[in-house]
Amino acid sequence: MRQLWVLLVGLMALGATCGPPDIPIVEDPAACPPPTGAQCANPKTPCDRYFVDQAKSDLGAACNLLYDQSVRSEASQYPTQPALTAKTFGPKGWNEPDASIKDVRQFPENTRAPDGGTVKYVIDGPNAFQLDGELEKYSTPSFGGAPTYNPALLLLKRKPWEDNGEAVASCREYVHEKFYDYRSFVDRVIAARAAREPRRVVDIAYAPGPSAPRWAIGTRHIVDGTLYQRDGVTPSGLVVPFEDPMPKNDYFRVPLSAGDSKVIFEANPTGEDQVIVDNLGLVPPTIRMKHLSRELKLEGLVFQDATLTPVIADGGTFYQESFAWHGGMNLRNQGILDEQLYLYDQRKAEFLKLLALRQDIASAIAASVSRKTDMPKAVGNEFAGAWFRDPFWNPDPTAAQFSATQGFDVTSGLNQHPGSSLNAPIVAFASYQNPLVQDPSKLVKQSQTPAQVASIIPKVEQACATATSHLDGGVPSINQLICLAYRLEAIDKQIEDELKKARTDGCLSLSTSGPAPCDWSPALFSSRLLGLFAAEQEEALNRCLEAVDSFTQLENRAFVYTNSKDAGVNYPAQSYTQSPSRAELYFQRLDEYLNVLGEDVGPLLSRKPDGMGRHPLRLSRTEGDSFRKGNDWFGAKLSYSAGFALEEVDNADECVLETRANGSFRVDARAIGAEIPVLEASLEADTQRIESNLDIKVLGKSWTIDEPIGKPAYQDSELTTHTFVEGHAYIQIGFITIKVGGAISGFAGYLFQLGSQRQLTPAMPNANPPVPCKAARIGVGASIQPVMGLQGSAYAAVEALVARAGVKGYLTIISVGVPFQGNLSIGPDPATQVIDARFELGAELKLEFLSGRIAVFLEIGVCPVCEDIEATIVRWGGTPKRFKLFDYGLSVTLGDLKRIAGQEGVLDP
Amino acid sequence: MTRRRAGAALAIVALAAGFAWWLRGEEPRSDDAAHPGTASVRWPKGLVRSYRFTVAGKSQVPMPESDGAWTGDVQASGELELRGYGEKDGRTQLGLRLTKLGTATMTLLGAPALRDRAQVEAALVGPEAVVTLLPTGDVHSVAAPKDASAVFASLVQTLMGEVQWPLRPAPSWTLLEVTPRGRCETAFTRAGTELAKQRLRYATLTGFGLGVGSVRVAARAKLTLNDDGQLIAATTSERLDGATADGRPAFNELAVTLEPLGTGTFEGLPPSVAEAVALDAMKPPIDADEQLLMQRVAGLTEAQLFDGVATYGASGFIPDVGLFVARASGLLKQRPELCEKLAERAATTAASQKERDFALELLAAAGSTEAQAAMRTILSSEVVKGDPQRRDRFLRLSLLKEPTPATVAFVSSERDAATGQDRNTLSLVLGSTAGELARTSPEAAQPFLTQLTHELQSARDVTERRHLLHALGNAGQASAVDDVLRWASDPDPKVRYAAVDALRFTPTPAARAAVTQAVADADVRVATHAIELLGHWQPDAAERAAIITAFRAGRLPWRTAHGVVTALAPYADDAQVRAFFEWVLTQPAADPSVHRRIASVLPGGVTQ
Repeated sequence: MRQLWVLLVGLMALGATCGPPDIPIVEDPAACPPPTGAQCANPKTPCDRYFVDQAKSDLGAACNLLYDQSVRSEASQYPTQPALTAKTFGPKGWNEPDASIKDVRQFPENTRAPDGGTVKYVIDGPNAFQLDGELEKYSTPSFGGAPTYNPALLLLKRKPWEDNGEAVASCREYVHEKFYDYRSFVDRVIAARAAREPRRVVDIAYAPGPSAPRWAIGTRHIVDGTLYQRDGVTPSGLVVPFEDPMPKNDYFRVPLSAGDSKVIFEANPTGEDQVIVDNLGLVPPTIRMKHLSRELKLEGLVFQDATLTPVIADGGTFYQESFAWHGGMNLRNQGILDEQLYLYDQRKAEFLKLLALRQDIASAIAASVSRKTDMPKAVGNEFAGAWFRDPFWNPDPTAAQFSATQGFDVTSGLNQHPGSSLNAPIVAFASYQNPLVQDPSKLVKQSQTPAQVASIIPKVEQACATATSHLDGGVPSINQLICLAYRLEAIDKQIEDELKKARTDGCLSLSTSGPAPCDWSPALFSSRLLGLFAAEQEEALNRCLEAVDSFTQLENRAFVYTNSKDAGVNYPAQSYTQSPSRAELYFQRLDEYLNVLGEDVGPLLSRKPDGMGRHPLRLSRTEGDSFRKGNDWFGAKLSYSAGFALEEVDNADECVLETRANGSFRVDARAIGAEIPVLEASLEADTQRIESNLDIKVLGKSWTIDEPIGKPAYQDSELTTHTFVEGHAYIQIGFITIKVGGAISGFAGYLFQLGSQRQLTPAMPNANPPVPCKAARIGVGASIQPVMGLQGSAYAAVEALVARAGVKGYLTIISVGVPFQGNLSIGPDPATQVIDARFELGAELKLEFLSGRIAVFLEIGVCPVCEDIEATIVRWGGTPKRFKLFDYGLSVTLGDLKRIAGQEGVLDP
Repeated sequence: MTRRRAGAALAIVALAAGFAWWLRGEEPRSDDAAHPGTASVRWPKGLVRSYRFTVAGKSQVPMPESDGAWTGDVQASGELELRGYGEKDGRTQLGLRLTKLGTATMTLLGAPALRDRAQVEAALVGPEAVVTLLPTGDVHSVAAPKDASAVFASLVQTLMGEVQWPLRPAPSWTLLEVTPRGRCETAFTRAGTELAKQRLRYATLTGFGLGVGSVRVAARAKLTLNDDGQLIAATTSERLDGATADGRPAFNELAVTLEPLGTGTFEGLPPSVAEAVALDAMKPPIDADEQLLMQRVAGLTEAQLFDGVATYGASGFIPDVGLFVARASGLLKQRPELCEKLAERAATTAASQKERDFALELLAAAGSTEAQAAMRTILSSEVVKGDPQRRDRFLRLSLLKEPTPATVAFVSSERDAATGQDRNTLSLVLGSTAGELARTSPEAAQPFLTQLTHELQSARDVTERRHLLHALGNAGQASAVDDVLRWASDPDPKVRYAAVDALRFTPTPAARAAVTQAVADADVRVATHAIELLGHWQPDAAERAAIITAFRAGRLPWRTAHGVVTALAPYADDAQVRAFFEWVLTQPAADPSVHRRIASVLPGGVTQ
């Protein structure tokens, strides 16, 4: 206590001596110039301190923003940094990520992927670089190299996610809450800067208390190892890869030989090193070793100290790893310094390296002596009779294969040995005969020096050659396999020696109580728990990003649609943001909806080259047909086409979106040999030029060609009645001529409405940050309804001397109405701000062709004493048609359109 | 006449005859070295030849889309005279009159048709027609008295058509003979006084109604001439057999005989006759148009007309409006005074806008001079002058088939006084009316068309230029094609569209070339319209190739596919078109109906 007082007094005196602190309070923060990263990292001035203090509680503070920028910049330099995988949209649709485009950091926002497509997912926040890399990220960022950032701010960033309970408001929050048990643990580790301090990781995981926090992943899962979502009830699906059974410790991972070896290693002290391979595979390959000093088996060790064998065997399946086990082992070893435990960890790590090396050598030997199948015909002729020379079928092809991958012609030296006695297939002097080994310089590519070539020869071969040459008193080894066998012998000996040391240290003890320093350390737990589930989390994140354009959209979304094949979904509007499970229900229902919707919309999607090397996605439909009915007496011809299009659906620049609707219609009527185009109408409205084109002709004469340039809406209607066509013909009987006349009268007209809008918020590329062009609403509305009702009548005139003629009845030549309505617009939904495309498209052809009867009657004689004769001259049964050309009424987000386009078979059936 | 002079005269005659053949599209035969008889007809003035004649005809013409057919037969006999009236303008004039009617029977649709023999006899016996012969004996024309019945005129055409004896200075020749049933390639062989002729094939056919295509001809005729080329006797028979598209038979039989009764002389002047017509000119009943109009009106009364107009004006609907328009416009033709009456009401505020439009449309359908005057009255009225959509009312004038010069001048005057959109719309109307006027009175229409052409060159803006191009398109005059073509390559696609559209009625070679070029226009709408236009013009192989090339090269987007199919479908038999269609079938279709359409038009299905 006395010492404490002395210290306190001393400090006070120091303060009194030195006066006020060096960093005064800033009176006017607004007067401070913006800080630099260095100032944030090492505050010196009052302004620096002000900004640093501000960053402690404000994520948007200048220092935090600078930090984020630093992180982005730094993260982008990590060549192996895990990152979100990005799907890209290329000419053939969605591409699976590959190595060249896997890291979205390669692409600034809204730029294109290497194949010309658009990066689908972009960094959307400071935590968005990676999920599985966050440990790395939060432990290394720096301004100029000095760690300055306070990772505790991570929890500040997580606070909104924590405050809204199970609700999810972003895909990252979805992932966070779906894997909540694990994520909260990791966050805690990051916030505590504990990722490289295993003891602290253990302490976090096994925080004591009757109601341990969620991040205490160990304590909470001692009884129930299941990792849950945020609600604590729904399993997250994550399973920590605990070992069960688990060796007592890593020393017990040494492989033991079991039964016969696939390769026989024979001591041949009086003979030569030799490899014998039965090409038929009936006898195991045999390697005769002149200097073999211990029993060797490819599959595992044969201890010279036989007492080791049962111990290793018994400890191989000793523990059942679990959170409970880790907790228990933590208690068992609590009396041992962590540093001591880490020493054991280091030795075990070295031991494991030996085991790995043994595995590599054994695998190389096994691969080399494995029986080869027949040679491919392509190389059969070249290597006929010398199969072992083939770089791929040689018993030891390692060097040749490696060289081949480097671009060397490994076959170039083969012809130097024609008629060699090495043709015998029983004994393969493999690598020895490899020309590369013999004289690598012969295989040098012109661009490479011999030294470079030599450097690519596997070092193991060099080392082995050196070693074996010692064994043989300077004579080079005759076979690479022999070399490997000797290496196997040496490593087995080293492993056995290490085990003997471990036994001395007590690491091979099979005790189940008391300290077990060789069996567990905090590092074991830390390495087991940290860095897990990257794939699962990224998969979940991608699933979410693929399905969600905006989480606002999930707050009240209905999936109600019945397609033309009567398949439907009917999920009324509801919220899907209450929990990760609800979000997943959204994903599921979205899939159902897209499948149903895709039946109708999928055929409308296409991808066509635009002449500039792009293949923009287009949603379009055209319908058209032509009908001709009747004959030279009465008839009509109808042709029409109608269509709409939504262009550049997948262009990231929403301001280039374009909508278009067009329709054309023409009816020609014919009466008694005369034909005339009664009505022609064509209409095209698009948003590219914010104008519409209209051309309406009556009787072939242009009536209206106006377009509403600059006008938001335009409408007009005309209906005219007329006798459109008149014609006549003659019937001659002997020298009596009958004149038959006919006319087509009725009405023809149209009603149309046009409107187009293109409301854009222009881009501001020089703003900070740059503001892209935004579409408030791009749309076109067009409706046109050509209507027509034409009736035909005929008359007959006969010489009065002959008879009085008349006509009864009339024909309906054509009755047609084509109400074509197209309203297409694109823009952000006011509620969700998600860009959607709204369609109200309908066209129905109502058509009746030629129905009715016309009869001529003759009154012969002088009435009332006359004879009436009536004969039908025209009779049509009518061909009523009424069918929908198309009928769409829906609102689809651009995201959904792209998703449908990405469905298998939609664009490339 | 010296020998030399006689040879020169012969040469002149031969040249004249050759020129006449050339004018008539004849094919003189080369085996005319011999000179079997005179190659000209000399029928002195005052010479009359009498004949006994018989005419027998039988016909069957299927009615469209029904099982019935126009059937009938007619037989007549009697005596007639051919009377020489000398030459006029180098042509011989003969009078033809029936002096006696023997039998006269007719059945129509299986029933006896002639009402009263006395009336028939009165109609046929007495009137005299004038037949004009070329020096070679070819019948140039026939003309019946104005008050003669159509039956008489038709009988004269029939008789002369069958017994005509065009001569050539050769033992045999072939020429295109004009007959009452059309124009027929006929072979003649002359041996002395005997002239045999055989009709081979008809180039044009009349009197068969519609829908009967080519016919088989079985005909034989034998005529006897004297040395002066005068007809002495004739026996002819002909049967034409054809069929409608659905295979129903049609035929027409006609047989004529003339037997000489004697010769004589007479004095007199040719009778007063109506306009002369060719032998193949149909002779319907004189009152045929009145008959047709009466049937068209079908008893509609004046009161019903005005009631109908009022009803339509109030509701925009009346039952069977098409029939009503036909009847009402017929009544306005029949009773021209009603046009003014209709205008009087339509020009007042008592009439609704619909009623006014309807009145204008009925008057346009009537189309008569009086109707057009009434339309001008309505359009000049104060109520229309105050109509903000007045220009739409004027559009009804575009419906006129035969606008009068006064109507066109009225449009032009109104247009001169108009500005802005009104003027642009009236340009369209002026183009329509002036173009129609040009068909009957080119001189009267020319000033208006010239005005449009000049204004096009000096148009102030694209909108005006487009309207003027469309106005010239409405006019459809080939003389304006060059002026229109200047704008076919304008930088503004709307102008190019208008230029292409303006060529729609004038498919001259230059216009076709420009439209073909427009198929590859950078603007889809221009290209689409060019394709449609070529389709309507019936594209030739090169034009079809241009469409195909543009589509295959990707210059035409998929949405033009329907237009392309519509234009090319009639030529699906063509190997190039077929190959193109089959290629389209291999392309992914934004619209499956394109594939369906192509599959339906490809003959014999799709080849693999």
